[in-house]
Amino acid sequence: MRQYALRRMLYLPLIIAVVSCLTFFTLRLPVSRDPVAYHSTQSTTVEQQEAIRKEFGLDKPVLQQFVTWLGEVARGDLGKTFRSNQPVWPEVQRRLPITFEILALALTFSTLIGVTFGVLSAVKQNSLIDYCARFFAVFGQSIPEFFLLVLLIVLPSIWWNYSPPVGGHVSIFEDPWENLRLYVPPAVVLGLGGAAAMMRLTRSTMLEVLRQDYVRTARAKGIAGHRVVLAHALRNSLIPIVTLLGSQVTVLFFGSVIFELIFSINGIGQFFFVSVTTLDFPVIQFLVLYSAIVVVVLHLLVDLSYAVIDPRVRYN
Amino acid sequence: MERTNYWTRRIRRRTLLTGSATASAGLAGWALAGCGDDDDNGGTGGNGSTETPGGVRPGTATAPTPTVAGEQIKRDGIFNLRQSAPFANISIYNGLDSGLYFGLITPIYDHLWYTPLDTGIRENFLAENIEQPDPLHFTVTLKEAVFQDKPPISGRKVTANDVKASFEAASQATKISNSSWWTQVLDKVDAVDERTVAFTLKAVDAWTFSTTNAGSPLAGSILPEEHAKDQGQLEKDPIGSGLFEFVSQENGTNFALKRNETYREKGRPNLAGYQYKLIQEQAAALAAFSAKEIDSVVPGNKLERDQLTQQHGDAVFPDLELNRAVWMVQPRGDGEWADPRVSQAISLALNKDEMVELMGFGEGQASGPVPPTFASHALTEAEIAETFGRHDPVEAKALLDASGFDTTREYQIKFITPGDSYAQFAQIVQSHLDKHLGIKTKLVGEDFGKWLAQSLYGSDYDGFIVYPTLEYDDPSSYIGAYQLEIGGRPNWAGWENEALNDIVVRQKATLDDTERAKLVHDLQRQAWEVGAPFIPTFVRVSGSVYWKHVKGLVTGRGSYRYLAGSTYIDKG
Repeated sequence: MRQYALRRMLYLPLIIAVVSCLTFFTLRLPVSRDPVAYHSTQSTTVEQQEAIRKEFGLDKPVLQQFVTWLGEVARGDLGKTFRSNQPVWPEVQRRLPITFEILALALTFSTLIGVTFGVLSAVKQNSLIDYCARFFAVFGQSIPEFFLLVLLIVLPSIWWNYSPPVGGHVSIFEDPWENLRLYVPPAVVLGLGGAAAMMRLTRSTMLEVLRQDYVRTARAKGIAGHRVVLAHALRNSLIPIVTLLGSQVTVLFFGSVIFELIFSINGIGQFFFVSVTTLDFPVIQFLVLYSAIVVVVLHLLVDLSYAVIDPRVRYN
Repeated sequence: MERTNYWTRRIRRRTLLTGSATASAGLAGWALAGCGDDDDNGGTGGNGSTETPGGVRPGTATAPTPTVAGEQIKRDGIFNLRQSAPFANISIYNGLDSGLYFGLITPIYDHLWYTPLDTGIRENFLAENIEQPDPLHFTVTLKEAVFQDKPPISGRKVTANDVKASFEAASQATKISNSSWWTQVLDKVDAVDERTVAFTLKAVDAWTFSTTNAGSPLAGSILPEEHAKDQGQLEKDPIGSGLFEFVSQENGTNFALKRNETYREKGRPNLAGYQYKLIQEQAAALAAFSAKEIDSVVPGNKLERDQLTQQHGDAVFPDLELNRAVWMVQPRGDGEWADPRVSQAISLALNKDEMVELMGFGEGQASGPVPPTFASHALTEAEIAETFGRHDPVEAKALLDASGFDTTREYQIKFITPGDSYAQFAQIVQSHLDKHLGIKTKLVGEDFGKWLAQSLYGSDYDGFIVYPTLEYDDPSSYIGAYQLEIGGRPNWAGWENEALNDIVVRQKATLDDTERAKLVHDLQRQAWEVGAPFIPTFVRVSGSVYWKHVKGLVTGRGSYRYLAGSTYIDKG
C-alpha cells in the first residue's frame, strides 16, 4: 500500500504544475481584467498606476512573472496580497481554522445523521421511521443550502425577533460554548444536503447487504441483531459511504464560499471570494493551488481507506 | 451611521455598506470627484474668531442634535453597528475600502477642520485658528491635544510636525480617493513652531477647505509623525488623537473602538465605544436589527423601512434625508452627439418622475448636476423643472429629428455589475430612449474595474454609460466632468466646451462665496443650454432606522456625523 501511496503522490507535482500554469496564465490573459484598476481613483495619474503595477510585479513579461513566482513558491514565499500588502500565508492561516471548524461540524452532522438514519431506515424498511427518513432525504437534497441558510436567518426574525448569531468569531479554545453557538446552526444547515445524500446511500447499500447470505448466516448463528447490523452489515457498506464522504468534503470546502458570505464568516471561502472579485492574483493563485492539493490528497486518503475497511482490497 | 461604499458594493454585489461606517451609494461617481475645492478659508473654531480675507466665511461652532430638555446624557453606551464587508487592512492610506473608513477609522484621528455640507462653513477642530493672509498661503495654529496613550507614541502632544508629516503622507497616497488638490494645489507644509503650521499652495483654490480636498475626513486625518513616515504601523495599531481609540479587530472585521479619555474636548465623545459586527447579507442585517444585535440598519428601500417601522412601531425611528448620489446618464459628447439638441432630447425623453417611482418607491426628486441638498449651489426646483427635470417626449423627438441623429443603428448602455439598482436604472433608461426617441440600445453590464478604467476614464463606450455619483459633502465635486481634462485624462465623454471649462476654472479661483455660487449656478444653466453630455436625472431618499435608545445623532451634515461625538445610547 505504501508503494501505491507513493505512486499516487508522484502525480501531485504534475497536478500542481498544471493547475499553477492554468491559474497563472488565465488570470493574465489579455482579455482579463486589470487589478491595477481596483487600486486607482480618478486622480491616480498614469505614473502612479505604473508604480502600483510595478509594486504588484505586473510590469514584467508574463513568462518572467511566472518564473519569478514559481521560484518564490519553491522557497516558501507565497508573495503579498494586492489588497492588504500582507504576506499571503499568514492571511490564509488566520482564516483556515474557522473554515475547517465549520467543515468539521457540517461533516460530523451529515455523517451522524445520514448514517444513523440510513441504517435505521434500512433495518426498519417500510416503517414510519423509514418513510420519515426518506422524506427528509428528498427534502434535504431538493432544497439548496443557501436558501435554507437565508430562511434560518429570516424566519426567526419575523416570528420571534430572534436572529441567529452572524458575523462573530470566538475561538473554540477561548469560549467553546459561544463558539458552538455561533457555528452550529449554520453548520447544521450546511450539512443537511450531505446528510440527506448520505442517508439515501447508506439505506440502499444496507438494504443490499442485509440480504446477503453472510448476514443471514450471522443471524442464524444467533449473533445479536445490533451486532449483525453494525459489525457485519454496516462495515461492508462503508466503501460507498466513505467515497461519498470524500467528495462531500470537497463540495463543502467550495460550498463554504456561499455559506460564509451569508453568515458573514470571515473564513477561507470569504477570502477567496473577495480576492477573486478584486483580482488579488497572489491569493487566487495560492488558494486554487491549495484546493487542488487538498482534493488530490483527500481522494488518495479515501482510496487508501478502502484497504482498511475491506481487507480484500490490495494495492500491490 | 451608514452610507454605502462603492467598493464594497461591488465586492459583494448587493448592497453596500450599511450599518456603520460607510459611504453611501456611491459608486462610479467616484469619477465625478474632480476639481475639488471648497469655499471658506479662515473661520472660527469652536472658540474664537479668525481673520477672514475676501471669499472666506467665518465658521461657527456646531452644537450636536439637541436631546430632550433636561435629559441626562448617558456615557456608558456601546453603539453596535453593522460592518457590511471585511477590510483588507486598516491603514487609512490603503484605500480599497476607503468608504468604510469614514465612520470606522476616521474617528480615531483628529482633523484640523471640517466643513459640514448643510452650512458649507468651515468649523475648526484641531485648528485653534486659521489665518489666510493671501490666497496662496494659510497658517494653522493648533489646539492643545495629545495622542492616545499607546506605545511608541504614548500620549505625547500633537505638534506641527505631525500635521506636516500627515499632509505629506496623504499627498503621496495613491490608493485612496484623494482629489487632485493634494498633488496639483498643495505646494508645501512647514512646521513654523510646535503649534503653528504654514501651508503654501501652488494655485488659488477656493475649495481648499472642502471635505473633498484638505478637509477630507480620510486624507486630512492627523497621524503621529512616526506613523505617517513608517506606515506599517497603520496596518496594525492605528493611533490618533481623535474621539475614539482603536481596540481590536479580527481579520478586518468586528472592529472595536473605545472612547479616547484624553480627547482634547472634555466630555466628548459620549459613547463608551463602538462595536462593529460583520453582517454582509441585507436579510441578516435586518434580522440582527430586529433582534437588537445592532442599533441601526440601512433599509435597502422604502418597503424594507416600512416593514421595520410596522414591526417595531415607536421603538424605532427612521432618519431620512435626500441622498446626494445623482443618477447620471452620460451619452457620448463627440461626433453627432456633440449637437446640443441630442443631449437635450435625451434629457427630455427621460421621465424622472417614473424613475423616482420605480427606483425610489416614490421617494426622491429630480436633480440638476449639483444635488438639491446643496441649496446654495444647486439650481432651484423651478429651474430644474424647466431644464434637467423636464419630461417632454414630443419636444424630445422633435429636437432629435432636427439634429439628424442616426436612430437606425444600435447603441450601448454600459452599466456596472453587480448591483440590481444599476441594472434597473439602465433598463429604465433603455426603455425611455426606445419609447420616446426610437433609439435602440443594448445593455452591457461591466465589472467595475473595467467600467471605470476603460469605459469611463478611457471614454470607451458607444452610446451611453449610466451610474450614480458618489455622495460628496461639497458641491464642487459634482462639476468636474465639464472640464476638458479630468484628472489628467481627456474628458470622459469626449466632449469639449471651452466656455464651461473656463467657468469650472474660474469658480475654482473665486474666493468670494456669493460670486462662486453664482458661477456654479451659471455653469449648470449653461450645461443645459449647450447640451453637456452629463445628464443628471434624480436623487433618492435614503437613511437608516435606529432603535429609540440611540440619541444625540447628528443628521443632515454629511460625514460630520462621524466626527461629532454627540451620539449616546440610552437604554433606560
